[in-house]
Amino acid sequence: MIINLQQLTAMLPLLIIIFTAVTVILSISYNRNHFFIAVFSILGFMSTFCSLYLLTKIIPLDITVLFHIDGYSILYIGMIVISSICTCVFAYPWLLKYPFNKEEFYLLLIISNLGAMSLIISNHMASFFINIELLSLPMFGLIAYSSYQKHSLEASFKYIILSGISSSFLLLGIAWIYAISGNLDFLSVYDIFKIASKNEMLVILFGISMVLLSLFFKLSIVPFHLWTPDIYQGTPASVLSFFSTTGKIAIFSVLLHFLSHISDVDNKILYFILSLITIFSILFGNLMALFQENIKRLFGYASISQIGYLLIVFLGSNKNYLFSLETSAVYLYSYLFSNIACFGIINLISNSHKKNNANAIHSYQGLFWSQPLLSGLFTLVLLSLAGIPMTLGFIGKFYILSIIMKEHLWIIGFSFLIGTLLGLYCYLRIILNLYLNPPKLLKNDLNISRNWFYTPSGIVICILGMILLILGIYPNPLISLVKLAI
Amino acid sequence: MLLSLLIIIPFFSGFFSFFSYRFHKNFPRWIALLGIILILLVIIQIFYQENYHFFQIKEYPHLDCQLIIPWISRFGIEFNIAIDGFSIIMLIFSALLSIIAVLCSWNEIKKNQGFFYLNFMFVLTGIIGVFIAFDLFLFFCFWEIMLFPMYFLIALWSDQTESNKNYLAANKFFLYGQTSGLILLSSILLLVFSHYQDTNVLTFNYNLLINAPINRYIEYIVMIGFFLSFAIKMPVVPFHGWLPDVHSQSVSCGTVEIIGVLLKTAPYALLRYNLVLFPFSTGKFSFFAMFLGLFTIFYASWLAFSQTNIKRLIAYSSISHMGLILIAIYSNSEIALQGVVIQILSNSLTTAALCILSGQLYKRFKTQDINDMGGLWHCIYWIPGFSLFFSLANLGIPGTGNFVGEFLILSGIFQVFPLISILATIGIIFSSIYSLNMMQKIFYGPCKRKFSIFFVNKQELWTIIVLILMLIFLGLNPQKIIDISYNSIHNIQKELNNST
Repeated sequence: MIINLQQLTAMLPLLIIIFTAVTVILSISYNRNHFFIAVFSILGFMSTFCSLYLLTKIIPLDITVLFHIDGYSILYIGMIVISSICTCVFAYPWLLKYPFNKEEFYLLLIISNLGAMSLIISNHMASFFINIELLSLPMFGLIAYSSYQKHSLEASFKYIILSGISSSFLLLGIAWIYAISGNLDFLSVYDIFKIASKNEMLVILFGISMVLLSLFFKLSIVPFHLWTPDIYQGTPASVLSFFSTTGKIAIFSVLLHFLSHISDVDNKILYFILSLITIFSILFGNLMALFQENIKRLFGYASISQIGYLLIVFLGSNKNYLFSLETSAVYLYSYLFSNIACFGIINLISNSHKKNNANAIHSYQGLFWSQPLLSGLFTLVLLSLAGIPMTLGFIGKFYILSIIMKEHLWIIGFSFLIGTLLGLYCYLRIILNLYLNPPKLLKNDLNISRNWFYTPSGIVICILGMILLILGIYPNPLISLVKLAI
Repeated sequence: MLLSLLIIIPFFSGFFSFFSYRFHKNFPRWIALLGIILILLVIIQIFYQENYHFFQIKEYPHLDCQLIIPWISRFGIEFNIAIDGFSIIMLIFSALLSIIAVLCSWNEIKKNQGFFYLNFMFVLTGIIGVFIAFDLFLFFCFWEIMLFPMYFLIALWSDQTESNKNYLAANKFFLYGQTSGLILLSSILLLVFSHYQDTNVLTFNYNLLINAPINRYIEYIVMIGFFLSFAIKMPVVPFHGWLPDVHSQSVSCGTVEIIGVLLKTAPYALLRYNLVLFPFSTGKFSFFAMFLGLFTIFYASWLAFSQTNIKRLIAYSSISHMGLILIAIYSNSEIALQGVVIQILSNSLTTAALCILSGQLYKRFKTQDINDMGGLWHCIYWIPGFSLFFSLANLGIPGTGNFVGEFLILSGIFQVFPLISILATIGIIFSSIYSLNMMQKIFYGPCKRKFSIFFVNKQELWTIIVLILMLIFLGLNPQKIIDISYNSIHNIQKELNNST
């Protein structure tokens, strides 16, 4: 196998990440230095981000059979790297208080990030499967990182077992498809639809639905969503900002990639199943989120419905295929920024909580009157998640509603409206809590230092909040960036 | 450039009043007041610049002063604000009422003044934006944005003794408002995309969409979407559930803002968008809308009769008047439409004044229950007399603006639909019954309890006197208002006539 210079350049982000991972391992084995490793991994991520610029000139490009890079993968890789950087920044103050080995956190993060990045560009069933595993195996460790806390091990075990099952389904599906196509390339799946006979078609459909099932599990779409709230509850907030963005964005992008090849096939059954799943995840996620008292569980349920909104993208027809791509990218960017900022703020608050568990919604009561800027930012983030105008979240919702209206998807549109209303009510509860009078009887457990603003995570949160607001008012830069990549 | 000041001033004065709270406790309210007065001055400046009195011969779309900045070019969205006769009246009027609202919260709001005035000014920004936006996306943005600060005004500054009810009312308000917003957004998008399909021009511009031919079915759906969204905000009877709750729970300043200004955005939007954008389907729909209006008049006035809470009573009476306005809007008669303008103004003046008065009563007696009061005429100066004046104005005695409005509306409808006009007139009888009932129970008759005699302080007195003067001005000289808004109203009606 010969790799030329161009392909090597295209591999540059992956190579940098691998180099970072190796250096971190060596550094840990030689001398544990938390600060050095944190800074080094952030620098590694940043240079990965910068190296993406070199790629823009040579795309689209096939790197061997396994990988294919185009403008879209660069956009998505950018998202993932941003989320990793922010996670490192948020995790640092949390890990300072952590009593056991701190440095492995960054290692797990880097490896998982590597999996996500190569998953996005994978173009072959083999790399697809391996990278999904590479993405999720370190995730177990990350979820269980605060294993001394109450729900942490439970969450990790749940995720390990269920994820294992879903991987086996994925393998099964790949095998069924392979049985007919005789090729593991993604493109072969597309080709085979044209030539397969009716019986063979059934086998392929079964295989595809197995693959989809496993992907939907990872995205926590409705019939496969039961694990989500538990795992959100048990995961530390700084990990959540990684877990809820990286995993979902990477898997969504591969789903988009996978489905784009079969979307030409006008398949009624797939379409029906997809729309059913979409409707149920929008409604169910929001409905269950209404009754949650734990803020992390609430976001767990809300994330189900948010991915549900995103699935509407697949229901667009071929005529508007480019528009759907644009929609998904814009929506995912808004999802990324809001989620990272949201969990960053929760992390900041729960770090400064005396008992380290600011998880109940009412523990945020009256935050505004002691921390106006922080809770103003939190309000902004929640508004963005709810999709209120003048925030980036609204632009994402606007795009999705445009697809609904363009394609006249009335039933989906109706469930979208109801889902949005319900979701709004959930976020409203948190927002109102921020502005209530602080509780008098309960002694306030929160003591956020006055200069939180000057810590790295404070700065990151502020930047993210500003991005949400500015891009919400003037989204042209983001839109033109996304359009460049098409 | 003057136009952009209308958005910039209230927005930034809100910010300044929030931050000035650190320096002195009383700065926020002065900054808010100053901001509104500045807005008023800007509006008057625009008004004289454009010489509304003298020439009104320009063709429709007659926008005298327009500012267009490209915004989101991907969707053809522009930051497009403009002003015409109708919106200038609404602007002057909402600025005046906001001054009064600030004045009557002057001493009432004691805690967190900075945040209060921040929210207040943001609501005002949204309202002004709704009145001057000529891009559907921009209009929607303002329509949504004013919900949020209003939500805080209701939830946080009401009577804290029954805070659970406050949150319930605030949530109700927000959810109703959000439903209305979402329906509006989907209809706007449907309209725009069907326009795009026909002409390949993706635009949210109001003036371009007016002349666009749309598929009849799509037009019908979109029109119903717009109507639903505005009817929720207005409110028309099946969608009115939020208003009485919100009204009875919020502080008197908040209610002045809601009833006086916020609710008036809905009839404005009906006139501006529904009638002009969908003339064909409006013609077909008008019968149904009128029926809803009639139903609203009767239902709300009967419910008003059975209320024991003053503020709920006022809220229901306001809903009932909205029914009349709805009928007039859909009556396709120019006189009635001119009546609508007068009626919108005078009705909100009256209800706002009644709210302020009931707020003053509440301040003294700590109750809003009509059954607990009685014979108050003996122990208060001024308030009973004013209340009598405003409740009579509410049922439309000659000399006040309400009379002119109702007269114009009813006589306008009579030319087209005599039967409906007669039925609507009967509604006035009911409104007189509940008004007199309220007066009788609160101010006349035997004293239920011993109250000590008290005086009204000067500031409260003056706000009410200003309201009275405005109302009488409307009653004696309505021609001024009609003249200013004549061109826009005439064009709206012409648009409607051409199609049917």
